[in-house]
Amino acid sequence: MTGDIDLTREERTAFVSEARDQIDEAEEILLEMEAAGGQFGRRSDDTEKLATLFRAMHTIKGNAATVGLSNIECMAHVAEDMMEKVRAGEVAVGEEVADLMLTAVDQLRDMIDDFACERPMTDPPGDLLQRMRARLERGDEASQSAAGDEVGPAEFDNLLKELSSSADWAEEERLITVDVDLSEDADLPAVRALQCIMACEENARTAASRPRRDDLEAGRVGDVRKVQCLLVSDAEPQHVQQAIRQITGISDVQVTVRDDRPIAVQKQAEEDDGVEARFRGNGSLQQIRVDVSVLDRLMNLSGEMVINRNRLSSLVREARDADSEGLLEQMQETVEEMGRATMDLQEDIMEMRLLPLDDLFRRFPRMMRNLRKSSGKAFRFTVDGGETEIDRSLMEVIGDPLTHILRNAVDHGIESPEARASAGKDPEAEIRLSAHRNESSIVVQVSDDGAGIDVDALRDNVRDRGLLSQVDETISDEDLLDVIFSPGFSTSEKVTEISGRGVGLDVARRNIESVNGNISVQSWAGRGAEFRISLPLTVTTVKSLLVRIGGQVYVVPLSSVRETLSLHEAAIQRAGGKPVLHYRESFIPVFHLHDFFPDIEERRRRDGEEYLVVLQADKGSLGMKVDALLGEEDCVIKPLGRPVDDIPGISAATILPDGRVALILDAAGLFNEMRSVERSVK
Amino acid sequence: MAKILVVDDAQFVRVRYRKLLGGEGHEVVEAGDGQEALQMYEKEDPDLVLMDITMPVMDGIEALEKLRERDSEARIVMSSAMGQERMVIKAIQSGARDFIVKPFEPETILEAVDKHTG
Repeated sequence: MTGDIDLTREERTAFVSEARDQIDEAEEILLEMEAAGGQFGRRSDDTEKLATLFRAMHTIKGNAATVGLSNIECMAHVAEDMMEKVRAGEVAVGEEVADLMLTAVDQLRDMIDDFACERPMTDPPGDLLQRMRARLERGDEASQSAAGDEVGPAEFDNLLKELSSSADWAEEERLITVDVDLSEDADLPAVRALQCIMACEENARTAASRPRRDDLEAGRVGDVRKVQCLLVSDAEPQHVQQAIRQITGISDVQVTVRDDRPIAVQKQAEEDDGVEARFRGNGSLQQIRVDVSVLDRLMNLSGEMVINRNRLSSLVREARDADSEGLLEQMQETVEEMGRATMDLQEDIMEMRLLPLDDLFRRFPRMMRNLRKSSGKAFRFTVDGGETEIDRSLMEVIGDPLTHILRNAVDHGIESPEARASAGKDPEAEIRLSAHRNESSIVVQVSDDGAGIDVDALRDNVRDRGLLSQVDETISDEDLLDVIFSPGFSTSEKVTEISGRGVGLDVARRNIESVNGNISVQSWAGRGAEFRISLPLTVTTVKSLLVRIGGQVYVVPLSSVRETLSLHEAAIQRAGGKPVLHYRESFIPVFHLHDFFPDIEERRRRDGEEYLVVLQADKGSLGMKVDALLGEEDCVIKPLGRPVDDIPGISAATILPDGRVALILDAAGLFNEMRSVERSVK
Repeated sequence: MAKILVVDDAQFVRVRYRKLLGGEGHEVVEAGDGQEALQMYEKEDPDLVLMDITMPVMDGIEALEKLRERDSEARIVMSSAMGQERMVIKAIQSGARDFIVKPFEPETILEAVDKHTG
């Protein structure tokens, strides 16, 4: 299925990323089209939207052809034809077209995903193509008179058929179409068009064009903006494209290798499938787009760092030779300058990693539309704050949780229109996805105005399943709700049915906490529920307190340090056989890392020198015994690899200034560990 | 940087080319008509020829054809006044690489030079 074109990894990546963007964009417009029904096209910017849709399909088609993905090309081609007819007014917009196009866009997305993940490619479903083509033909009947004097699309297509069925093709020859757009401001466009055709002919055995060459040469064509050429050629499409790009006054060139060429030639492409194998193992195809100005800044900064590094090493050399007074000062200065550059560099890189949440949010209106259809429930879905920027890795972390939460909101959160009406509520429910940034975090919320989580039913089920201990019988509603994030809960379908929450939420919490974020839920009986995810602004560094425990250095993010106390000041008492600290009018549990990780040495207390770090987790405080406080540091977060990436209480690692590796502790994880230890003790 | 032969019967135009292209570091040689252009081409072996269509003694189209006969790789960009579309078509058919329409912006010339000498 892959053509004989050698692709670099960058080209592949660019193709996938661009196609995905275009698919997303197309989908957004199509959903709008569907919602507007026959009204679409009446507003002023609808024309531009149709043009955008057309361009998206056109570009995917052209790029797929260049990459040699005939299945994607074929699907995009039909979709492009559809949009062309819609734009020309030959096919009316409406639900049918929107539905066909949405299905086509889904297909394209799947195919692109297959390509990106290096799965085997499949052909677009025949029935979809058939339905779309049938719709296109029906559109044709309505306005047969559209073709003018020049070579009409039909004639061009006939020529294409004729050429592709002729038998005298050389092995390497293929049918290539070239679509050229001339710039608006091109001088003598007819001459430019002629140049394009000449360039095509130079690269082809046979060529046909619209407008025709002899018409152009005779000056019979006045204003021309588009040139289309059909070539039988053994030239590389890139080569043809390059030749045409050389011509002045060209705004766009699409060179497409058609798959409808003679069978003998098609075999060639199949043999070339081996090319695919070379791309395997390239790993992730993710990429980000970077503003050129940011790249320039990075370039400058890295230059500065190199200069200062060189200066530093020469200073060190000098320092060895002589014992000059000023040298130390100069070195100090250089270190400071390097520090500045490093900090700026880090900031720019962090900025580069930011993406608007819309990149993620964009997929939800479609999902909600499908859910609306399948669930039979009536609801509005609104999205706010999609412009909020967030680190791309965080976007990946919250994608699945949001999907779960939104699905649950539809399936279980909101009531049927009848139930809502009888409760005196608007029969149409509202589900809202929103995001905003505050001083220290990004907050993403999903709220609905449904029935809320049935706390009593939840309590009964939690008790029946033994998820909470006796002690927790008096558990507050808030703590009870929190149970829906625990692993034991999510496996219970029965509870899920009644309460409507819990599917995969334990995984969601674990993933979100692993990036130092947190997730919580609030519920109001009869009025709805709200999930709140808060995430750190950056993922690359964290201001931290360094502590020593059992001879090792550990890192505690400052955001979770409430206070540090000297142990001999702290009033540690025992309650139920366990150490607790009387802290600000309540008792908080006290632990040593040894309690969770027996390998860690529990140092004997020596003359009350130990300290207690009061950790602040989302759900409460707890005291951690440490041997020493070592100071504060900006720590670069290094994610842990498998199999140690899933240890509760440890979120990541960092490299200390002296080069040693230290683990970063996670207060929320430790708190949960503490809880589960308490529960299992019971 | 490239060596460019500018061919135009108007001295003003040649001076303008010299200033513009010389300012970009290109070496500029001049000819006042087609005949002279052929001689200068032999002598100087320029990277690019910028040539007017309408000139006395030997016009640009004839000079273009003769140049292409002698050197099939010759890179020639023609300049024309407005309303000369038929002549420009002729020039393109005869192997001119590109054309510019007078009056032109400096950028247009520089872009063309970059494109065809790069």
